[in-house]
Amino acid sequence: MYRGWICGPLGAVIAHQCPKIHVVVADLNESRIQAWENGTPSFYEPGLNEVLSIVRRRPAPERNLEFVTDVEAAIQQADLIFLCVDTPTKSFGAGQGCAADLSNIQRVARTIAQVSRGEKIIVEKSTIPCGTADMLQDLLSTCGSPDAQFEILSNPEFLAEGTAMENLMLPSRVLIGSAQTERGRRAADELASLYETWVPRDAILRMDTWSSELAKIAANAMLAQRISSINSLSAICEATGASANVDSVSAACGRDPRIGPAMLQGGIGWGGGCFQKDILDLVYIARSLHLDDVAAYWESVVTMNEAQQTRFLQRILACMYGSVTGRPIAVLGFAFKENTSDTKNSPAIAVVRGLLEEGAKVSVYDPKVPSNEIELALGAVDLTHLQICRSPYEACCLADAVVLATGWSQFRTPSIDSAQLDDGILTPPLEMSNFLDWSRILNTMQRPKYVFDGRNLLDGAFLTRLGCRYVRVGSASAWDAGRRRSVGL
Amino acid sequence: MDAPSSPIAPSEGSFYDDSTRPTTPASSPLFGASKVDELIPSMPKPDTDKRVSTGHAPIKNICVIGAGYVGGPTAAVLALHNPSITVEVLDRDPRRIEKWKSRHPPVHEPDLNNVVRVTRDGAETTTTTHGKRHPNLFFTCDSATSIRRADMIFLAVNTPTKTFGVGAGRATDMTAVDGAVRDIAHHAKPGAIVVEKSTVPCGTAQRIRQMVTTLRPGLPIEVLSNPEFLAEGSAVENLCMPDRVLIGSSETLAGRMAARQLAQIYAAWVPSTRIIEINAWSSELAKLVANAMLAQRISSINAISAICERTGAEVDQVARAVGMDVRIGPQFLKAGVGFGGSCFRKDIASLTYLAESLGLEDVAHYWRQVNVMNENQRGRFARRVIAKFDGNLHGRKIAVLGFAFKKDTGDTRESPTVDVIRLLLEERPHEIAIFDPYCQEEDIYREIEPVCGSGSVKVLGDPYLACSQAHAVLVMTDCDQFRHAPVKCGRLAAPVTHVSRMEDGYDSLAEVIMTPAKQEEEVWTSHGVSYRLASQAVCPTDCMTCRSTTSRPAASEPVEWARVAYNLKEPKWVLDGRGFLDVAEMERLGLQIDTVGRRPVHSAGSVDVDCE
Repeated sequence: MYRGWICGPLGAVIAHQCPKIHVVVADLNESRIQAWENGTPSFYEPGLNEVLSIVRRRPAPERNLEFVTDVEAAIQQADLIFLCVDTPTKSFGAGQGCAADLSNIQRVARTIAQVSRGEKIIVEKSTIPCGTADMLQDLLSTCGSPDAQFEILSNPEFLAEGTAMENLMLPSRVLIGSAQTERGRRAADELASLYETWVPRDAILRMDTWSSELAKIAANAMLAQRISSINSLSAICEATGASANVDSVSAACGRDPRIGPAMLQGGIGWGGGCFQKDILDLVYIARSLHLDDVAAYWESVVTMNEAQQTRFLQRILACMYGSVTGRPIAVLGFAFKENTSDTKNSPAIAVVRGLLEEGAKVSVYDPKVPSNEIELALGAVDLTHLQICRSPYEACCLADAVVLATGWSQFRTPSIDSAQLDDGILTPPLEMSNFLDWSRILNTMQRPKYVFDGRNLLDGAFLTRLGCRYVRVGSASAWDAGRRRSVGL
Repeated sequence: MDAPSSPIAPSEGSFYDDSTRPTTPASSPLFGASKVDELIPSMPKPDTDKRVSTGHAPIKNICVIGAGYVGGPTAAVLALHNPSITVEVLDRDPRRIEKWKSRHPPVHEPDLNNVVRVTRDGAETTTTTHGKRHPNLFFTCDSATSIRRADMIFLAVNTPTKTFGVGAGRATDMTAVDGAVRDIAHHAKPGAIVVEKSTVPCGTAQRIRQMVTTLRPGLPIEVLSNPEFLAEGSAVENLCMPDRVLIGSSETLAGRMAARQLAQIYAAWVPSTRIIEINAWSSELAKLVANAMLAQRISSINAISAICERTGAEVDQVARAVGMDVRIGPQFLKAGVGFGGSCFRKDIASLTYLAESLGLEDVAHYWRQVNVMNENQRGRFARRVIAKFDGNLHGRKIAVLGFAFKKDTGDTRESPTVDVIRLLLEERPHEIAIFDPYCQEEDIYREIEPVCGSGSVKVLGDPYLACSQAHAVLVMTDCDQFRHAPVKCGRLAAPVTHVSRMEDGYDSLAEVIMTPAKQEEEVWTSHGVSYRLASQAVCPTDCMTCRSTTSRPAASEPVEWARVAYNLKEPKWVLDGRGFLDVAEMERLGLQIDTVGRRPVHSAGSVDVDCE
């Protein structure tokens, strides 16, 4: 049984790779299942449609991917059940804002217990707090029928939105956590043999369920920590007012193979459904184990991320002489990162909200996020001054400032070298036509034309030549409030 | 050994006698470099020579100030790869300079002795291309001559953490740097390039430039930042095959030209893609950040290990699974009692202080956590030991195997073991017995005495004596000797490498001493070039170092755990602070083993898991 965001792509990949296995994706939500059945899932993921269409084109007896709403029947027929239910952060009661809400997973577990007969392997796929395997084992063995036997495996997903299909097809590792018993190991073997059809054997790690559950959240916490670390340094670089530059710092550190270069890009911070939730989970576990120092340690990763967003917003205000009331500002990008339509915890939310609260007229453009989701994500803010645009040019027209909030590659400045610029060739080469025409954007803006690059994506020298005030994260600019005074502007 | 030499180092008036050490400190608070101001009698007249400096001229003479852990190896490797450049190492401490000139350099690193011999004494290359090479590495105490001659001056002096005044415990003590800069201002020729090699606070390049301008107006000088990335035990390798070479310069034409010149020197052996030219601020910051981020990895996995200990997870498996993510990477994810050595703690303190002084309290707090977590990890380990005895160590003997902050080093400073011992002593055990295969007895005593007195702590030269009749053995360093050596067959092969490493890195020397009659030529091959080493001056018969090299006890043999187990008293606990012992094997020997990052087996204070 599969459902939700993770399991749609997973189901498709298993069906694609293992033609002999019949895969059923079950969900109670009828419209969602209908969308999958029609081949139009509700989110965007590069490569997903291709895989889906290959599987769907298989002739009827070989077509091994089904989408159903009859969850109970699906459970009864299955030998192996992937649990991919959402476990949001609790918004009420004990551990509010920190602990995971397990009511969904418990509800599904009870359903499984009620309808199952014979041997079933239950695989936790969604990110769940450590110890859930124990909970499930307990729940299933007490509520289940006596002739049913359950083995719980932990097999955390390591999908990044935007590269989910790649992560599934060529995973860096597959973790399989099982009970350290004969039966547990046998179940792990079975799941491993499923993966071995396309994953090299040495990338499949077996361990106990606790380690596997913890490894998942630890990995996310450490990834988020990398970004928070580099962002804390970007704050230092900005504050020095000197020529320190976070891009150089991260390039220099990334060369150390013990640190590595990935995820060391300064910016307005991380977002998305996973990092925040997983770290908060970790914090909650540490607290409940009375490890307050550990909790504080990981909590600071989240705090730093929030501070980064606040700092970025304050910098925009400070550069624009402390007031943006009534001034038109364009925000390019709204998703929490490029190549996804997900807006969960997107740093853009804090920026847009902050600007709206300051009374700015904000126009937002994102290539993939639907406009109703943008409004939904912004929540309880006065949206009268918000405009959601269909093109970046429309959003930036007559704007005082442009804020780049998501690193979509089409926002990039063309990578033409400065020699060409000196010759006065400012139009990007033809093959770059799917990229943003920054000279067109800047031509329609109002002076003094600020560009705030929240993702350190743009070529500052190029934009400055085109006549704008370019500010990026992690290096002081001439337009920062403190600096302006000293330069005498 | 460098470390032991340090307590006697501060000779009067020496203000850069000690040098920066990378992962480990010579940065004892004992080193006062104090009387700087008195040392600058009169300034020379402002330089009237306005010739635009040696900008394009190739560098002929290099002066490295500070003959310590960074200065010595750096100078030697620079000289090795640039036979046409004369490299002089300058230090105020004549004893240290004499040591560099002798058979026994004060710093021991694998291969360093060979590099020094080739460059200091000259050598014949057996490959046809080079022929004979003349000596181009010199050691001197004469600062005036040496600095006056130099086209490029490397600063490799000690920059410990301030122990007094504003920012004590966090800010960097710049006394030695300032002293050296005054000398440079006094003597340097126009157009000389100053290179910061020591780890210095951000903005030091600017500060040096201002100091020189104040002291000697009109002297054209460029200051570059070129931080070292040396790890103790692999300094020569780090220098010969660096992951990257950072060159930070001021963003002026002159600054960039100076950076180019330094880059050309490195280009003799470093691929140009690894040489990164950035501005000085970024380069200074990058050095602090690299260490801070490495330390952070350790603190992060230790934070996870604390959770593992209380649940059922195993931190090694978690670390392996996490490390397979290429964005995170597998290195520096070993849980244990935490990091030691002065560099990590010091650099994080320095970063914290920088953030504080910029008014970024949240950033300071963020990085402070890394040190806090590290300290707590030690406390947690000590409490774990105490919990094994139901909170009471009265009448118990605890053996400690390993004292150095990491394996294969004799450096005792900032070792996590000190904290653990201090916490255990508060419970008044009968005795704590320490054994370390590389550390000198007096070094260990020196580290321990200030924190916990000497009462019931003993340092022993034999692991079996240390463990005899002990109730628990704490393994604090992941030395290979402490690994379980199953059969005796491995015993012959393994110690040899350890001995040579331990014997102050005198790999080839050991042979010579063993067979004095054998006067055959020694050949050292590096990067495809074979050097026929010149014979070394013979030490005087009363040379202490030679004597201690030959009469060293065989302390580096692998520990036989069966023998340890036999002489332990019940409950025979082994607490593995580095997570590297074979649990099944230990249990087979009748030992109870408990490992960092795993749930305790029978601990009294185990907390039940409740995290639904």
